[in-house]
Amino acid sequence: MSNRSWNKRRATVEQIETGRRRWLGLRGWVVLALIGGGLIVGLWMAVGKTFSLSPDESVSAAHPPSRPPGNQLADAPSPYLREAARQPVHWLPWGQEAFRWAQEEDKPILLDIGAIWCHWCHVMDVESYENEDIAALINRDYVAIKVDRDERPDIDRRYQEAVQGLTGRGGWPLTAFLTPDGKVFFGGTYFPPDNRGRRPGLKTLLPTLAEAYKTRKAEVLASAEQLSTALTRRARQSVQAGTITGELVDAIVAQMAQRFDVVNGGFGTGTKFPAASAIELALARYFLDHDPKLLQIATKTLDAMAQGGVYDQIGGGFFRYSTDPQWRVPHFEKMSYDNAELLVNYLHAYQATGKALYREIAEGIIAYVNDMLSDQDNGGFYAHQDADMTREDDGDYYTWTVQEVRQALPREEAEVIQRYYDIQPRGEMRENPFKNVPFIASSPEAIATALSIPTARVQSLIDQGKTRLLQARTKRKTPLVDKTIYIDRNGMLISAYLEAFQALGDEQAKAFALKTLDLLLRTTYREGKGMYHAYSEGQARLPGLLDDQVQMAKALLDAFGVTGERRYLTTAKDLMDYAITQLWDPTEGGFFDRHPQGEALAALERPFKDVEDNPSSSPNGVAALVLDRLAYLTNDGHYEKKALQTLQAFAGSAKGAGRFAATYALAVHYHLNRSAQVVIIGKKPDPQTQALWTAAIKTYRPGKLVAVYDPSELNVKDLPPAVAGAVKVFGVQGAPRAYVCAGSTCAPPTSDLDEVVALTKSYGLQN
Amino acid sequence: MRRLLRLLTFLALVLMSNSPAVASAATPDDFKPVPEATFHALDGTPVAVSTFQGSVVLINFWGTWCAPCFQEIPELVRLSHQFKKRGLEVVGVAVDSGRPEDIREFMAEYGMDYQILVGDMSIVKSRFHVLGFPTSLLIDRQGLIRKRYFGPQTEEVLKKDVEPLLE
Repeated sequence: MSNRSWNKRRATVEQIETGRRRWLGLRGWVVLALIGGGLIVGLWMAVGKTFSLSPDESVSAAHPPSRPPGNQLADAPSPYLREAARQPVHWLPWGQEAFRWAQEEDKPILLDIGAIWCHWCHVMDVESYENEDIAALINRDYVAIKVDRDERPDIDRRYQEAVQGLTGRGGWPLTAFLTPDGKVFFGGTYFPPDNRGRRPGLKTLLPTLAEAYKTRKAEVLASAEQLSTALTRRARQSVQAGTITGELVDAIVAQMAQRFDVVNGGFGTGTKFPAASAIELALARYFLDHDPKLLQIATKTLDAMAQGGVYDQIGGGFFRYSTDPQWRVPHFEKMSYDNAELLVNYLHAYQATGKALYREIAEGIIAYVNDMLSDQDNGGFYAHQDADMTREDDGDYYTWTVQEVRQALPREEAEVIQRYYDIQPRGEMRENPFKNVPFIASSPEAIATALSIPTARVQSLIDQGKTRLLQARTKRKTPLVDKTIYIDRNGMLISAYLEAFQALGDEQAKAFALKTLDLLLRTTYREGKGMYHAYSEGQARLPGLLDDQVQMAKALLDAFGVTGERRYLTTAKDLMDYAITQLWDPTEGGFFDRHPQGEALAALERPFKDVEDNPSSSPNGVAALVLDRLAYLTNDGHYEKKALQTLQAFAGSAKGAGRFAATYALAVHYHLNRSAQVVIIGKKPDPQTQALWTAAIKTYRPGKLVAVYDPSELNVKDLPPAVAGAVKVFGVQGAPRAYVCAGSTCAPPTSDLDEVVALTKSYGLQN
Repeated sequence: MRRLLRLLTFLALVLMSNSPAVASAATPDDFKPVPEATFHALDGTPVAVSTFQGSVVLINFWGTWCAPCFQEIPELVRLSHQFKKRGLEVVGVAVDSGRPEDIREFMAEYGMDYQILVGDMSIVKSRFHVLGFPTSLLIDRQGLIRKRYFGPQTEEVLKKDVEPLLE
């Protein structure tokens, strides 16, 4: 029935998905990798014995008197770092201090980048960083720095790039060996404590690399320098400008379609990540040209994911990715950003097709996020939920043995549920082979036939069984939720919740989105200085990144659309002004991922500008989308120009990036084919205004923009001229009306509800 | 007389129709007489479309609420300046655009010195088949519609069509 061999294929790393070209054209790096590899293998074989792992020797390592003794992570705000505070490794947090010690003590740096949701990070923590012998080796020869990748995606992406440059692979945990000035000379992902097959263990690597640093320092420094130079060169070369055309979008769509898995949905043939932005692109293009292939890409993928184990069939919400092409066996961490983007996918697919399953899944995501990933009292969406509890556990909370199902459910219900979710004596998991991931393996109709009972009965048994399994699961120890409120992800979820209001009329989702938005504006926004990156325990912290500015600006524009409150528009404008003045690349165009004059430490010195969706929507793509909308709402051509410059700056590099450039392609698509812009002029409390507004909001039109202006609240001098014109007309005419424009023309104004719906849906479309 | 003129023009164009330039300029309105309709000047005076007979006329349907129209207006101002003396009449028909003083204020801001009339939406929709703004109609000296433009145009594009009609 189901393929039972996945567990054996499970990789020992939290995988990262990257675009196709990232590691090409770096022939020099191959040489570097060989140098690195040769250095390691050679030294390991030659001197391995010299470096006995005797604890005495390790303990005898002296600390310079001035460096603070021991592990310095106890006060870290990140739960991941705080968790590492009990490890015997003398971890330091990322910062000037750590690098200063490395230079002063002339020691290499061991940089560990991980996350609390990352299973293999926990494994490595327990196996190696909690191991006294290994800790002693680290403490003797290294300055150890631990970084939470969610806190510092800017650090993570630069070191991922370096390690991938050396080894061709990245992921978490990321284990990098740096020179004291922060340049990578060796690295990898997960390392076992002892040599395992061809994979060297930390007990070998640590002394070997420390010795190499001592005795062959010139060579180590030179190879690190070479890699760093190659990375800087690549950073410059990888961003290529060009002109933006419909053909560019077509090319990206065609590349995406080529990688589409027609059998299982999704893209590629191995590990499957959600690729939400590719689905958005497919739906948006389908709306324009009705190509059934594009609809199939979206629906096949969304159907398969909805029925797969990658969706939490019992509790709602999506896991991060599937280890198999059939979407069955996931890695169980649940990320807020994936759920935000997938929620939008399912809402749009529901609007496009009317299929009830999509609505059900959208509601399942919302229910899960409301329940687990949000602070319902105060507002705010949490970062993510961990996959598991311990090292031996690879998803026990979410998986079931036959016996567990039988214990939780009455006999007939268990029988049906076992068939429905494919719960068998041998499951898919590695640590506990009896455990099964629930995925929909059979239809209620088929089960009804097999058991000779009516389909309706089967359906009700499934519904009851699901509820009972959830109750049983709630009694298990729940994987930890990282309650950090990251601003970019909150922007994404605010937007997604406002989409849920538009598509499903979910008033509660709207209210919570606005509550969160208002909380973050009060706590993490400074006028003229942008958003911070995080908020936790009542504190705004970490410098804001491009992602934080653009995702919040997008959320603010969405909030302006559903509330008509101008403060949201004004703040969105302020955030984009900040991005333009502080994060813009004045020579080549496009936005840097972080303030180029900010913290210039180690790899952070390397500017980074990207347009790939990795893992979620590329901030430069989102920036262009937001700027175009802002241009319309403010009638300020400056924003449109910046949108165009952003799109042009990446046109060359996006050309071959396929689905990884989906957000970018979507931005080009909307730049060239303006979607409907619906402006409603009327007094907000007037039921007729409300009716027009609701009609516009609820009508599906990908990329549409809805804005309401109440003439009694406004000074016409503050309005874009066209809106001011319409407000003046209102003064004469007195009745609320909708003004619908698309592309570069406008429909005649109307007060007719059916006409507003029809215009919003199709005004300006060719067919 | 008018009929004869129309017929002659029609024949002349049929003869020219081998030329691809003429063929590609064809729109469904081609050579239909401009519909009879009366708009109003800003002071309320009725102005019939037929008043302009004898001039080449570019009727531009626009509104003070229509952002893409604003984009086009400076182009129309330039076109009018360039060809007015040779017999081009640019006529802006403002639809659903509020009080005359609002329209005047707008005209002053954009330096619109060509003729502005006020039109009724239902007439514009039913007789001129305008379903989107801006829409412009180019009418020759004989009162025949020669081209329909949908969406904002540039002076350069319009000039190419206007100039031959003035000769």
